[in-house]
Amino acid sequence: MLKSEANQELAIIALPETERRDLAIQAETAVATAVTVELAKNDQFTEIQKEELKKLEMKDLVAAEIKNKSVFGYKIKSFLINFTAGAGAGFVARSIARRAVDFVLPGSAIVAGGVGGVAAESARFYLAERKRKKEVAAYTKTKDADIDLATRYVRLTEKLAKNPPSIGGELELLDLAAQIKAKELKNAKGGDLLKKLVAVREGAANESLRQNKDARQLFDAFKSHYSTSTDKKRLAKAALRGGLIGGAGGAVGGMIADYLHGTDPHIISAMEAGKEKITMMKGVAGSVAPDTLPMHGTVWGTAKEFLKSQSIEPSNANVLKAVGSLTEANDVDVMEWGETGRHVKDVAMQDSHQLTGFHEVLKMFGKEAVAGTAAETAEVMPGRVAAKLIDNIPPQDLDLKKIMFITGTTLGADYLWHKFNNRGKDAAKPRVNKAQKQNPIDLVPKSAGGGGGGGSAEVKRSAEETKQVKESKLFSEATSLRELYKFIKQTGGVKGSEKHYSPAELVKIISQVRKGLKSSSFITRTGGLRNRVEELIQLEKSKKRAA
Amino acid sequence: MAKLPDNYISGILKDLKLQNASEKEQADALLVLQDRFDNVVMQTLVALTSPEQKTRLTSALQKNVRVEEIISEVSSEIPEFSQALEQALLAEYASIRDAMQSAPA
Repeated sequence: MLKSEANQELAIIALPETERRDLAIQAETAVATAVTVELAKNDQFTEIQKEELKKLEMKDLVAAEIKNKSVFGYKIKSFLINFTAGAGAGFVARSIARRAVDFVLPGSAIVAGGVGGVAAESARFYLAERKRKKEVAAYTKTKDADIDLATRYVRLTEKLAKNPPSIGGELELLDLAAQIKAKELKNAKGGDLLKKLVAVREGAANESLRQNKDARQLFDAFKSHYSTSTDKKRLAKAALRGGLIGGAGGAVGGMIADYLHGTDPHIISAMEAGKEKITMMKGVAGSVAPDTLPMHGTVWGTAKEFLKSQSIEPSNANVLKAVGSLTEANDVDVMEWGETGRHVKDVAMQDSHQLTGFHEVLKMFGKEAVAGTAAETAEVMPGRVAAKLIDNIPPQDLDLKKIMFITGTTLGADYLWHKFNNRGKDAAKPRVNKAQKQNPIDLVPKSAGGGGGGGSAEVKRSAEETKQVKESKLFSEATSLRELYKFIKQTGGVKGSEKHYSPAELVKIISQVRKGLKSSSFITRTGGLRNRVEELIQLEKSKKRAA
Repeated sequence: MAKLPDNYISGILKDLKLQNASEKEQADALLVLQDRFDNVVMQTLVALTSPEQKTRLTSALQKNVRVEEIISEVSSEIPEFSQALEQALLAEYASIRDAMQSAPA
């Protein structure tokens, strides 16, 4: 062993653990960058070689590349190879380099110089190497587009690791990843393409976060704490709640106001739960309550709910008093009481009919109202109202549809998926009709806010949806008709678009379809049953043919 | 910024060029999309928190105490967090849609 080489090794070994670790990271980062930009220029590899190289770990790749090579007159020893190529805390370099090797052509020459030099001369060389890397990067920009993409990708990951967070940067990175992987994605189609595309974006997003130590720790902690889909929704719920409280409510205000005006008074109680804070924020004294509310069910029911929301005992006597005032204010005849001659008959009134005069009701019970309408109330503190809304959605029911609708957007694939599995006579129509488009009423459980009374239909529908999702999963897992029959019995029957099918009925229909006595259109589509039966019959036929 | 389809199911499936796919393929695709969006929420939160907030969150997660409360607290401190989240989701959707649409039939 050459004396100077031994000294270099000793010098590295003698360093404290943390410095050695830092050195390894620095070295490997530089190496990885060098690999990316320099190896990319090498066009001597065949497609097969490229595939083989893609499978290699960076450690092995670098080790293979620098084996038996001399750097600055010294032959590199395996110790240095391992140290610099991955034996240390080299996750940064490995991840970047592996990515780079995956994306562009691997090569050789600069690796030896990079690895050997960085390892031997530490930070000083590292800085020089950085300068050189920049020059190389500038050069590669004028060359092959793939090299350009790879360079931009690696640079962006570095930038994201060091600079203040940038969502725009993150997204650019994901798009770059997809562009770099374009050749691979080109061969995929339909759902397969989507899966691959999402996997590429997911991988790039995870890696970019992992470039930052704090982010990596937090990300790992999140991943371990929120591992299932429902768990992730709990996280989303908590994050969104905070976001809305934190001042994102401006856009929400109008929607919540529409929501309140349009249909459901139940949320009033949710709003009122935060009224003390609303009062504090606005610097006004007294309570906040709407003067106008949409009727829910009956005038009686609406008045009762309003009294509850105002912490007024909803006894029959009190409700009667409130109804008397409301029917007077709205010129409504209560037919059951034998009243006639007024403008509107309560039996002719529809849900959502706007009732005014709730301030008057409050006065009757010795309370003062400050805000005039629900809209005003919502505008006072939409963030808190929205946060309360979200609080009242059970985590398992919280999908992005709800989140984004509340924040002013309209996308949520979970909701869509549920809807998809519910395709029946109403499936072709969007769940939100034209009049409701501005209104998230049907996206939030009617029981939100603890108002009670009106939520049963929604809860029932939600339960049905859940059941159908379960059925769908179950049916899709059946590998034979026999197994499918078993699963159908487990479900206790399936609700179709026109009727409820008992297990026996379903088995009978499927059996007839199987024998060719009926077309598959007789089988309900609920839970993807029809498709699954068609697939299984096809499978059965194929097996018979093969036998 | 992506304009999201009004008729969600058919609109999104059309966006993804999956309107003629089998029912199972469509359902699988929507699940993949949903999971991606869930992860975008998590990733956006991680990306936008300061080192101090990250420490607070990591500590809460490690101790498993008041986790959701701390998440809400931290996200309320991030300026315009929900708008950022919305934009991240929309941009993600737009990117995926564009990639799917530019794929050959």
